Order: sequence, then structure tokens, then C-alpha cells
Amino acid sequence: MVAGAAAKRKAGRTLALLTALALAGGVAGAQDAPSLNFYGLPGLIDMPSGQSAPDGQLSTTIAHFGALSRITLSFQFSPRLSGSFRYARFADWNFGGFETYYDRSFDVRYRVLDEGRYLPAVTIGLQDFVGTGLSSAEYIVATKTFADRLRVTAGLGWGRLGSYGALGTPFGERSGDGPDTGGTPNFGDWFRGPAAPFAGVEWAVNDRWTVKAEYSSDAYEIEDDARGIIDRDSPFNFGVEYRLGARSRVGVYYLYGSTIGVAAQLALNPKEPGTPYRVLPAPPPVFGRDSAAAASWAEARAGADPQRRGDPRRIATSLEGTGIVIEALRVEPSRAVVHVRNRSQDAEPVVLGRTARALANHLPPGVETFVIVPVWNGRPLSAVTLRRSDIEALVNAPDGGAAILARAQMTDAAALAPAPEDRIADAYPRHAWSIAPAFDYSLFDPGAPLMFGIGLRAAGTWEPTPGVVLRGSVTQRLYHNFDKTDRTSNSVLPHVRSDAIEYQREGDTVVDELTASYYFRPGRDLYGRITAGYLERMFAGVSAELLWKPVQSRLALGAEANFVQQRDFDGGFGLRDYRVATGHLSAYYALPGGYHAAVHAGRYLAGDWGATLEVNREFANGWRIGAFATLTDVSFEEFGEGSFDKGIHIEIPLATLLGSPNRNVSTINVRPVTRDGGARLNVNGRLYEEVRDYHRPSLAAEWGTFWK
Amino acid sequence: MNRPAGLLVLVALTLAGCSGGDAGVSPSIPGLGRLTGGAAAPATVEVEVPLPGAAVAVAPAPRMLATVEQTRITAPLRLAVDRGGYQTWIADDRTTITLRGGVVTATRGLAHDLLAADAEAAAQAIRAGRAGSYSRSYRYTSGVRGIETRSYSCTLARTGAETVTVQGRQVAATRFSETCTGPDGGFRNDYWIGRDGRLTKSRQFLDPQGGYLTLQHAGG
Repeated sequence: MVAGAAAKRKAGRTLALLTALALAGGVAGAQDAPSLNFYGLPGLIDMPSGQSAPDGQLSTTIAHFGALSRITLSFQFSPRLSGSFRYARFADWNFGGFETYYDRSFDVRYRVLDEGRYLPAVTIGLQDFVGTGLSSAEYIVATKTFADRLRVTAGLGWGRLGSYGALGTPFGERSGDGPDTGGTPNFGDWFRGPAAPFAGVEWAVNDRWTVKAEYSSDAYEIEDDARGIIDRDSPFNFGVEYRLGARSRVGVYYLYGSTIGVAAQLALNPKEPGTPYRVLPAPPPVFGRDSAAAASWAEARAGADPQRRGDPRRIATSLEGTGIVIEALRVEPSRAVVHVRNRSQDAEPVVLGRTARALANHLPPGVETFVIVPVWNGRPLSAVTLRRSDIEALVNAPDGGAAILARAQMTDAAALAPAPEDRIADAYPRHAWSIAPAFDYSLFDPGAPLMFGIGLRAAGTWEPTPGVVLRGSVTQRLYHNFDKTDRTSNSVLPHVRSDAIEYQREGDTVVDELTASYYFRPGRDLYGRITAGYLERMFAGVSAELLWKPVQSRLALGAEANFVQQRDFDGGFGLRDYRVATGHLSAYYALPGGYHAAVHAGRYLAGDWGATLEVNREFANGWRIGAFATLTDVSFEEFGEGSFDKGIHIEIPLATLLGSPNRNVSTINVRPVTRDGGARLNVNGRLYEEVRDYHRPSLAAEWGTFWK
Repeated sequence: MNRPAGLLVLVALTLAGCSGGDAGVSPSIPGLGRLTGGAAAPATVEVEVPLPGAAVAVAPAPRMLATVEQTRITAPLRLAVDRGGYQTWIADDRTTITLRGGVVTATRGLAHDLLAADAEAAAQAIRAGRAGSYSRSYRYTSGVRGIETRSYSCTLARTGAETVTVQGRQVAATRFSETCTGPDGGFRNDYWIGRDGRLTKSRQFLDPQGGYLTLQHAGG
């Protein structure tokens, strides 16, 4: 993990982290979280229920019975809407060239009716709606709770869930057709074909133990009749589950009259961190110009500080241990402007609150207005103006948090570059370095579903002068098993991403990144970046970006143009022949409630033209979970398996695990298939995510930390 | 709240390695001070002084003793600032407790901090030494870093005469109990008022997880 000076580094990438997190569980309040089924959805054993997981819950479910194993990641995106990604293993498949078959699938569920006094909760679900269709099913299901302990579920299923005991075919036949490459929504088949009922009961014996019984409408036709990997002798399933901590359960089941199954349900909720957030050292009290110590102010006015300049060293001392560094300070008779850099606080209002306290305690009494200018890569991101009287009056007020937010002015800071004489002498050059373990993985290869490498990574940044950032990172690998597969890309497009395994196999000593960047403010509400060098593992070249983002705005627009050439597999300085001009116009919008949407339209690495839609839910503590999809002018056939690029995106800020400030973020992008169509360049230090941190919508979301 | 050790191991592994230069403060949890458990803090820590050369009166400083019930750690605090009806007391490890009329309004540096609370109604009733009913609000930094407000209906009533130990002395006192209930649960605060009518000892609620704080007030 790289401790970054300039950016929230998107560092470690590991599913293990997520699993461990889930094991860690959460706090109280999870008692009414419904149990999950073998598909990782709220449900019984193999059948779904009508309930939803608590808003924001992220769960991992691992289930195994007979020759089948499923691992499912589910996220409750809103109180009603949830999504799941599943990886299923069918052992002893012996068909179509697969000895063991692995299947990836996505589900969505929407709760249409809330449980009431008399009414049940009702959910409509689409299972495996963009996969190969092997597990495809649709259902409508209702669940009612009685006396807090008994839950009764009944539903109607189509597709796989309509394959046993069907009542009829209400909406016409199911074609089962889709593109050969899979991966597209099978709209035409939804709720088509035979429909069959399913039902079950769940009884919570006590807070720990739950027993379940269900009648399944899944005939397991392919698995039983065609492949013979499951003996399905009965529609009845039974199970016992035990709760381990607030959000995790393990269970043992007897399925389909023939097979013992086991499952583990691990869940967490970013809204309920297990560790309270605290910022140490504790903040100094605000002494105030009218406090008991005020007698001494006269002295200071009389002569100690004739120019009435605040002493930056005292302010810096006051901020010691917080990672907040003063880059410039200008003290006028009634106003002070301070430029601050944030090295460690992931909650940006802490930067403002701590700086305001330090200024209030150390500036001459005549200074009434504080202008705090957060700086990133040497450039101001916004100007937050606070009245000193408000700081003094509200620090102890019961509603001081909301009140100071209402009085804070946030404005553009393009014109607020510090004068040379106001700069702190040792503010530049700056440097940072780190040496840390590095982890690299490859998922979902049919022959070797998990391959990984571990090594050591040395990284450093150097900022000789404001706006100029030199960045480098080298990884020495110590172990890997990427040679477990000998598959090579069969892509008909330029191999811009599908040769990933070649890069992983050959990358023993790798220059991850070696770049020079220049950041600038071309005008009001505008931000610019130019980066040149070895931009990422697979490409080198030049990248230029321009962003428009007013401080108060929820909307931002961006443009990026890149001229890049593909790098050699071995991670050295050599280049391959492939060159491309790639770039996008982007629109970003922060929706209320922490939902973020972005559209990037333009030319991708393989030269294809199209657009990417990203939708994420972001919690103010930095957790971010969402999905992305890209459609380009590459046809589904040319794209190959999966038909188009899509996946899920998870960011986990380490601060929420540690309960103390930390700007490192672990990012996980899971794609069912990585191909060459719709692939974007990865360049470090893109503008939007950093710039918006100090703008009003983001600051307001985390404002509960201002006085921390 | 108890996270398995595995998680800590994982976090430790993730954070293993070293860094330097401008790479930010150490991600490890800083040394926990006396009030919050862990190793004893240094005997003295310089409290921030407002101005160059500002001489804070060196009178024998009043002292308050605070005990975090959860950790059973007791630490002395000195009065750092008395302003606008609020007194902020500071411990050697810079942990602060802010009081209004003896009623806790905020803490900083504890494992579970109280962001802000209104104390005026409670403080008035305690000062007057009479029963009363009023509403109170407690504010916290929520799990997603917004402000979370919990509202309570409280009643203050005299619940008996007791002798309590305050900073090593036996003090005859009258106990007032403040019972608060709200949608998020309830709690009871106890205040012991000495013969001189001043608050001498109290046991006050912070947070369902943080539990209670016992204060042996100065000059009690």
C-alpha cells in the first residue's frame, strides 16, 4: 500500500480484504437483517424471499452442495434496489470442453411492496439476467413475518425457478436465445415459459439459531438429467443456521432429498462502521479573544508583534500530528488567507476545522476573517471563508456543526495563488516515499480461477515547485503463479487489455509508473493537468485533462485527450508497436443521497468509439460501491465472450477500518471478463475525484467532522 | 464491536511497509492517552497558549478527576478555558471535556466522543436544586460522518442524601437523578450537590457504546 502524499492512492486490490471485512461484522442494529440463501440473496435455502437486506449492506455468501459451489457478492444499493454478482462452479461438468464449468452472473432485485401490518414484503427479481443464462430465472415473491420469529414465503418463478411443478405458461414461450458470447440482457425471455410456485418457512428459535424448510421449484434439469452432477429426488430442502456475530451466519442443509450443503453468509454495512471515527491528537480548545487569557492580548498589541503578523510556526505547531501543513500564510489587518495541504485527513472538513482552531488561537485579535484554501498538487481547490467570531461562538454550541456550515462561504480559488512573500520557506520542494507489499491477481480464468502474485513496491513522489509532480513506482515480484494458465488472448481487436496475463507473467521487475505531471488553474472553476511518461502498466504517453467544476455545483464536465503507445510485457522501458489516440468527454453528477453518476463518451484504447456509464453509491466515510458498463461500436461478436465491457466497482477507505485518519483507499474492480473493447486508460491523478472533495456537496456530506 | 483478530492482522499486513518524507502521519493508531486506555501519558503536556508570551496565571490550578467507566481509567484535568458559560478541561494527553454548569456538553479524544449536547436546562435545574422536566439533544458524528442528533425527554428529581468521595475527601451531598428517554433508548445521569449548593460529583452518559463518565468536580 502506498502512503500517498498527493493523492488518495487507489492502492491494494484484494477480495480477501472484503471477505475479512465481512467476517468482521458490524454493530448492533443488524438483528432484523434477513438471512441469505444459496444465491446470496435474502431468502430461504435455494429460493428467494420478499425481503430486502438493510440499506447499504454488502454481503458475501459462499454456498456449496454436491458438485455446485456459488460465491455471491450482493449490495443493497438503495432501500428497495439490490444487485448481485455471482461466480458459480459446476464440478464434473465434462461438457463443451469444460471439465469443471465456471459461470458468472448478475442479479437485480426490487422490492415493490413494504411489509405492513397485514401486507407482506413483495420483491421482483431477475436472476442471471446478463450472464450466459445457465442460471436465468425471474420471480415475484412475498414474505410475511409473524411475531418476529416466524417468516412465511411464497412466490412464483420462471426460467430455472419455473422448471418444477409448473402451473402453466402465462406469458408465452421462452426462447432461450441470446448472443453466443453471452453477457447481454435477455429481455425477451423475462417472465416467459412455465411458471411454478415455491414456498417456505423460516423460524428463529432464538437470537442465534434459525431453522428453515422450503419447497423448491427448481428441477435442476441440466445438472441432474444432462450432466448428472446432482441427484434431485425431492423438492423439499431443510436447513439450520447459526448466527456468528451481528451479521454473519453459517448453515448446514439437506437439499433435494440427496445432498448435504453448507453455506456461510458474511455481511457488513458501510453505514455502521465497527470503529468510531476519531481524530487524534484531540483538537485544542478555542481560547477566544474574550477568554480569561485575554488580558495578555494587550501586551501583544503593544509591541511583541509590531507588524501584526501571525507567526506561521506557532500555527504549524498547533497542527502538529494532524498531517495538515501550511504552505502559505498572509495576515492582513482584518483578514488572513492560509493555504493548507492535507497529507492524512480523509474527512476534509477536519482540515478546515483544525486550521480554523489554530488560526483563532494564534492570530492577532484584529483578524476577523479566515480564508482557508485547501491545496492539492500545489493548486488551490476552493476558498472557505469563516468568521472568527463564528468559530469562537459556535465551538461549544449544541448545533454548532450545522450553524458553522450555514455561515461558511465556499468560493472558487483560482485567483488565490499565494504571493511569493507569503509562502512558507520550506513548503517546497516536497517529497514522499514508501516501500510496501504489493499484491496482484487474476480472476476467473477457466483453468485457474484465482492466480496471484506478491511482491514489494517502492514508490515516491517529488514536487519541486507548486503544480509539478514527479511520480514513480517500481515493483519487485517475490512469488507468482500466473503460469498456471497457458491461455492466450483470442481477441480480434488490438490486444489493449486482453494480454493482461502476459504482463502479469513477465512482470518480475516492473516500472509501474514513471511520470511528470503539471497541474494548473486555467481560470475560474477550471482545473488542468498534463501528465507524461509511463502512465500505467500497459501504456506510456501523454495525457491532458481539463475539468470544469464550480465549488457549489453538483455537476462537473471534463475532457481528456491521450496519445499513448503500448508498453512491453516485461514492465521495462520498452514499447510495443501499437499506438492510439484516446480520450473522452465526461459529465459527472452528484445526485442527492450519495449517488454519483458519470458518463464518459469518446474513443477507447482499441480505437473504438462509444460511451461508459458509471453509477456508484458513495457513503460519506468514503465507501463507494457501484457498477459500470461500456458500449462501443465494436460488435458483440468482435468483442467476444461477455459481449461488452461491464463490472462492479468497490472502494474501501482504510480509515474506516482503522477508525483513525488515513487517505489510502483500496479499490476493487471486478469484471466478469476482461476484453479489449471499451477499455479506458488508467492514469493517476485524474482531477474530478480530488477536486470535488473540497467543494460544497462533498464537504457538507462529511460536515459532522468539522469540530472533531 | 469486537472485530476478530484476523481483521487486525489483515489491516496490519495491508499497512505493513514504511514510508517517509511528506507521506502523512503514521497510519497506526497513535498512543492512546490516559483517559482512553493504554500507556500512561507523559506527566505534563504543554497546553497550547494563545499568544507568544501570553502569561496564563499560575494560581494553584483547580483540578477535576474524570473516570471513563468502560476503561476504568481515571485522569486529572485542568481548566484550559472558561468562556461563554462553557468550561473546557484538558488532560495531559490533550483529551478535553467541556462542561456547562457541570453538565457535559462535549468530549474530544475519547474512543466514543460526544460531539455536542445542550445542557442549559439541566444546568439551571441542578443549580436551583429543584426537580424539573425538559428536553435535551445529544449530537454525534455519525458512521457516515454527518451529524446525528438524538433527542431525549428528561426529568430531574432529588433521589436522596449520600456521602460521596470526591478527590479523596468525604462530602455530604444530595443526589439528583436525571432520567432521559427517547427513540434511541434512555439513560440516567446522577449529580451530587454538596452542602454549599455546588456540584461536587456526577456520573454522566456519553454514548451507548462509550458508556458513562464519572466526574469529581473541582472545588467540590
